[in-house]
Amino acid sequence: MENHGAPTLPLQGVRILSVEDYLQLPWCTVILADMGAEVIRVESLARVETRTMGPYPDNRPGQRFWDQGGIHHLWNRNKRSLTLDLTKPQGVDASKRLVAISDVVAENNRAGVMERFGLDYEALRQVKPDIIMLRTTGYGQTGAWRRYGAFARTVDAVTGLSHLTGYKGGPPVRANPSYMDITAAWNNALVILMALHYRRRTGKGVFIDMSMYETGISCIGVALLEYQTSGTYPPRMGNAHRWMVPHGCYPCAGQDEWVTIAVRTEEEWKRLCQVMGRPDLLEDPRFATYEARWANQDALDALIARWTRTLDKRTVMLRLQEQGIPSASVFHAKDLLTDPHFRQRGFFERYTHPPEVEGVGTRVYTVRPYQFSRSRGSIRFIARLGEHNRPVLADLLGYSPEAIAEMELAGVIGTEPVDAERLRPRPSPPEAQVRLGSSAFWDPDYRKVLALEEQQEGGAHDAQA
Amino acid sequence: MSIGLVNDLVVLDMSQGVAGPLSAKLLADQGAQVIKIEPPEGDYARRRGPFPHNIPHPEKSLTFAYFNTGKKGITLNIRTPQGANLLKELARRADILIEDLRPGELDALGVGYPALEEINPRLILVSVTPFGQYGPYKDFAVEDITLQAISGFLYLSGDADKPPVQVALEQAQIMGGRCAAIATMLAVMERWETGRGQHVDVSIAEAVASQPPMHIVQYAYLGVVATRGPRSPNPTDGDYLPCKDGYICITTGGGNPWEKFADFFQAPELRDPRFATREGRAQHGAEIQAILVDRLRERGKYEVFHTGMRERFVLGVVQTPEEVLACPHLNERGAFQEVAHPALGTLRYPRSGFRLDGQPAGEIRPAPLLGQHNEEVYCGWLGYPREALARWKATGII
Repeated sequence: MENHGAPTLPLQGVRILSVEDYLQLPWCTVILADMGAEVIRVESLARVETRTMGPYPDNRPGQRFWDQGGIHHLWNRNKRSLTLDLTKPQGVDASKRLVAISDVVAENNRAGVMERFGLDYEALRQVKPDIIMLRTTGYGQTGAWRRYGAFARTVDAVTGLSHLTGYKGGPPVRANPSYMDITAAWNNALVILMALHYRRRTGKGVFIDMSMYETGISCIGVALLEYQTSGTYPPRMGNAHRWMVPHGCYPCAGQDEWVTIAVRTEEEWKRLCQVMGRPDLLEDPRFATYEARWANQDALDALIARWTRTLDKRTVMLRLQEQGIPSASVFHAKDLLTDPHFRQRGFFERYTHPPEVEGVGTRVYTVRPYQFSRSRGSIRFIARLGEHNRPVLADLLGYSPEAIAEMELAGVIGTEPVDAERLRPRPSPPEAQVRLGSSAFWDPDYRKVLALEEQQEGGAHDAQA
Repeated sequence: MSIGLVNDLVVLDMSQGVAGPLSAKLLADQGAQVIKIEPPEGDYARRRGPFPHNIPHPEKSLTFAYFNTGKKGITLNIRTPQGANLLKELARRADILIEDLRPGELDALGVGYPALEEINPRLILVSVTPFGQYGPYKDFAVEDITLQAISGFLYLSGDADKPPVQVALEQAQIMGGRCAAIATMLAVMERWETGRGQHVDVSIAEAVASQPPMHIVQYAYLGVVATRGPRSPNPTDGDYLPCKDGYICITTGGGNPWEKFADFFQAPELRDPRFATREGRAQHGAEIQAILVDRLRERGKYEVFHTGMRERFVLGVVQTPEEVLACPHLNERGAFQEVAHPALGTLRYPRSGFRLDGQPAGEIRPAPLLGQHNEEVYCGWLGYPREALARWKATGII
């Protein structure tokens, strides 16, 4: 798109202090950090979960493996890393001094944890009356279930979405590995932005109590209304649709390759028959009318599968799209990363790590689903553990070098996890992942596929490969 | 009285279906003044349903009713010169315009971003489309299943030995709508600094593709392609197992030692050294599954869920929509709001997912009837006489 005026980042000047781990808050603060917010991620040296989730470049965790993990890089880009032991008074004191110069404090610990640190909303308001505080958990800060723990997959179940998803006649199916985490992350980002707007306008802060469960039920709102009006909702129906037919996911040439097709109108049905080279189906009493097709869905799906099975999944998609029929290949990670459309839109961004972060070099990351005519986000940096301890404590808070050294000595701050060797990851080899079924296949030459090699030649980094 | 986080914003929503309308609903439910601009025949969601008892009625589409709460409704045929002019008049007075026409169509009608910017430099134009404003797939026809497919979401859903399976209820569109609302608010924040609006290009496929993004990293760091099915052969990593009256999602998360898990399920055989490590549990997953299935057979799903959660395991109970509506925890938190709609009656709608300052957030007002607010908006807001309305109606402009 054209650039109208000078580029700006919408959240420049906004400071967010985030006591976060796992996904639903980190992915929210990434959204805000990408667009210019100064996010200070408060990390604990005793719990570095996200930093030890891998994957490590070519499965080789190095000396400082906690700085090398791909999930950490993806979830924590553009955030400053400040390690603080919040169980110690100096840690709490430093965090309160930061609160005094921040706009937002966000946290996703279990209900009750921030109270133990003396960092609940009332305590923060004493320090900064117009602070915005977001607390985000599985079940919220109030109510009978408030202390219950949550993972995205358990919340999928609780929201009702799993009950509605699954194969015809089969058990409920979990939506997707992290759907509820990321949906909650988005809701977190949205409400923080609305609260920042509200504060610009009124000068008032606000206390936000976010629940992943409640965000999840808003995703099945239509089924909730249908139950109330009709006493029913759609059964689990695999890839079928309530009224579209044909509508499904069909096998293509190759192993585990699929294409989806959705036919909405009589006109689209006629065109589908033409593309399949089966004009005879238009006369076939089993399929000639919508009612007949509805009654003979299984036979129709089998006929379509017979056609798709011999073709490449992209060929089917492109031939049907030429005729305006909704169809798309079922893409996996490699398809997405090499697809011309996503590439042209810059949906995957390259970032070259500094040589201090051993063995990573240039990699590609998922970025943002929106683009602005004037504002442009990018990956500016990815912090090593404790990389910003000194800049934050000295430059923002005015701590003396002696005071910082003392905190280091007391273990309040640091750059290495407690008991690092115990955490040392033992990643399972790609061949084993494929054998056990968690991975479909392995491309040992993936660097060439992603053109990562050529990017590295000009860089300062010496690749291990 | 709830806090209206965005009750100063004036939003025009000329999008249809789910994604664009949801983005405007999310703002409307927090107080924004949203005017829904429908073509004279109405948003296509009015014809798609689902409808109560499957009886089609343009004022009873539950999809329309849910994704258009809190909006005022007007009709306008923007494909006529006078309609386009009226759109400009509305845009002059608005902060945000949300649209979902095919890329290029708005320009062709003479109301593309450059024209709108000239009228109102503070206006934020948000285009919510399947693949964004440019790129080889920008004109592709889509349905929810094809959006789930092309974005990598579908491939990861379902069982390894079966085809991928779609996630119910237009989740791709819902993801697109939520991301569009975020993008809109980012542009609003930028406008505080520059005083200027901008054009925002939201891609629904990219919204879906940004979750779950971990498989992208697995390929970019290792060259492995993640697939669907249980991520681990160990059922206590999140499998759904049957109880007496439904399903429970089992994880050993929460920090409890494995022995405590064995006690919880009254399954001393789980203390066998073969199951003591994660690796061992992965290796002997089928045996663990058989033991758990046996122990769960006589237990109720809620009993297992609450007992386990109180002991700090992380479990999930598979609830039906009616169980969600009846959930005491949700009701205690005020997660639903009763909304009276003239055609659908009074129903409980889920709120936004968060509470503000200790109160349920925002307020849900019913979706508009077709053209319900024509007079209020065209006469009351733009100042046209009632006769003009009659004339436009006769000529198909509204």
